[in-house]
Amino acid sequence: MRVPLFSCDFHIHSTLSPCSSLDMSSRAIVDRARVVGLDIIAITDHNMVENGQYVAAAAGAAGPAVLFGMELQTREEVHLLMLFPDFETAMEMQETVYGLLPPIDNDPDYFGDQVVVDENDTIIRFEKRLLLNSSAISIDDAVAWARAHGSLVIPSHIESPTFGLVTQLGFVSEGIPFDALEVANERRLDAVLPFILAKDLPIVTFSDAHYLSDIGKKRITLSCGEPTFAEVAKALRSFGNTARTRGGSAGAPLL
Amino acid sequence: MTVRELAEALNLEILTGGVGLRQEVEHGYVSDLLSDVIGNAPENSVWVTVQRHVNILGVAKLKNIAAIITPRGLKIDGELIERARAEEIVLLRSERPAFEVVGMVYGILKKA
Repeated sequence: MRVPLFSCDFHIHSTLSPCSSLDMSSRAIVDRARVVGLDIIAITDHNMVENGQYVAAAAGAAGPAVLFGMELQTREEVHLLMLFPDFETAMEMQETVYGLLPPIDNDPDYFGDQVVVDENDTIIRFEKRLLLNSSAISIDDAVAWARAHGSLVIPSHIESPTFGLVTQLGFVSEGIPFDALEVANERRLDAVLPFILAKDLPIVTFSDAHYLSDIGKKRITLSCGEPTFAEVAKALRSFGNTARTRGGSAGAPLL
Repeated sequence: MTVRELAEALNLEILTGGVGLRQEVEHGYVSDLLSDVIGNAPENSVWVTVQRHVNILGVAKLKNIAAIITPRGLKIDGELIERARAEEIVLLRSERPAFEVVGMVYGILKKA
């Protein structure tokens, strides 16, 4: 039997991320994902998951399949993509993280609005607390939480000079059980390969879309039985790991 | 100057007990980006950082950093302290913010 292939972009911001375009409404994200042929997407706002439910409603049975996600900013100022098995688990993490964010109000003129928008593009509410901030949760505790709640953790843009794991923490240690590593720019991968000690992890790349035109520009193809969280988790485990095959060529210092 | 002399002179709390206190400190470095520390910290430094992830020990080992100072009285995990003891890296803590800690370290190392 042939296993179907699914085109996946698991790093998409919506109107709830202050730095994201206000065009990134639930309906618009779904329309764009269909146009560019994505089969599975994940909505990953900064420290929030809420808009994922509306994107899922907008997609409906016609697709794409929508996974509930978050881009968590940990105490170490590391960005982690988290993918949750269902919306209840996602909301549980949102509530935990929200309580650990500094109680600082967003300045919409400077950072942009943080808007919850339903599947009909109706505004539900404006989030007041600034989401572009570190939650007082350590990277180890976040990963432990994910493990205990059947969720996936993929450090975002690990080679990026801002909020990337290698920049912030020097290297990717073998000790933390991540599910994959996201690289933003594959041309920069060689520079960080010597710092990836956990060589068995899959290396993936997603769009990190803040604008509609970004969606699907970077993506991976997974072969799974059906477009569900459980199948995605299984397929990720067998996704290629470039770090092992490329080996550790000497890289230039990052800074 | 030894790590012990530095800790006593600046009234720093020693979290790792008696290990590593006789190591010599010649320089200082301050940064919270571990990649920056790997690239730029001088050997035999004392390092001031708010980072408390276990990777700080790997970086300290790599750069022969004798002691790490945590500012602002931030809480340190017992596990990190145990690993630091095993690696003979001294963990020190100050109630003062990093800016003041760095100022004091600079002043005393300049005199030494």
